[in-house]
Amino acid sequence: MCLATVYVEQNGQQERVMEDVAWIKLDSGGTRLVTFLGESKQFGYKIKSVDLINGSIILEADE
Amino acid sequence: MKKIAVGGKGGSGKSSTVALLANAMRRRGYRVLVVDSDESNPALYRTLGLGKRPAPMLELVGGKRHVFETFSDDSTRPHGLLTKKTIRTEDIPSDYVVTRDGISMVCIGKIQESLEGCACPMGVLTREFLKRLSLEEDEVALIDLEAGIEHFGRGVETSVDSLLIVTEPSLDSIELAEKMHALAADVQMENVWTILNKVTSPGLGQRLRDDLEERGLAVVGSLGYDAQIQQSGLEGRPIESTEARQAMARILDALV
Repeated sequence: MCLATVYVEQNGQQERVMEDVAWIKLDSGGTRLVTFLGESKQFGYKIKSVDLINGSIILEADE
Repeated sequence: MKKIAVGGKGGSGKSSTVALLANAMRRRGYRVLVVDSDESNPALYRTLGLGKRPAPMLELVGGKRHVFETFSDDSTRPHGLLTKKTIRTEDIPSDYVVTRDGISMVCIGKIQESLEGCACPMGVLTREFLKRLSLEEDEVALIDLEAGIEHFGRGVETSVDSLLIVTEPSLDSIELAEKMHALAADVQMENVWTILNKVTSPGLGQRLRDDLEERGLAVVGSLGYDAQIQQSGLEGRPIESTEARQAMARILDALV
């Protein structure tokens, strides 16, 4: 599905943190995610990868 | 049995079934909310005898094309209805629901333009609306699904408790019903039923029933091929066939 599920990767483990993400904004504070219905969360992580076929996005902490 | 999704192969008779079932349930005293989640076919409201189609609920999130603009400032615009944890029928703004004689209808959204992108947002909206929808004791929701099985990929079935599969006399339709039955099992659907449609003889009905039951499906009833239904569809008016109405009453007996 083209709306994304977002995971945070830490210590080799992935944790699902948000579903149905429609909008993503990157800024100096990290990554802001907004779902299709308007729920918004800010994460202090950068995007590691985007898989558009499987609708998944992985965030990870800066080294 | 509060939220019943009606699915099947394209052209198998989902919308006619929804209209007949809505009227049958209304006659039993239920208030019925029909959810038009088909992104293509425009005319369910006419089959239900409603004077107009309600505004698409997709507008409540800014519309498919403008959803990104909605969130493009630093604050998230509240969406009223869709930010509620539970939605009652009476919470739906009047532009987005049309009611006549105890049958109401909402419409998720329709594809409007070439190259507008995929319909995933409509699937998500259907799923999330149904998840939040809270029905009173005398209320039921009937969901007219889009043809085929893509709605399973979007998780619509996780927000309903029952699936009614409409099957017509074709191997494609039978195999699709079997596939839907398996997909419904994956999401632990409470009730999965099949009805036969466009059945032209008792022998054909029995053959379809045997085939489907052998594949593990529960067949709860049968609608005959009905020239009056075809004529109603051609003219864009409600189904008035007495035979179809009686057959659906028998199907409802089996469901409840």
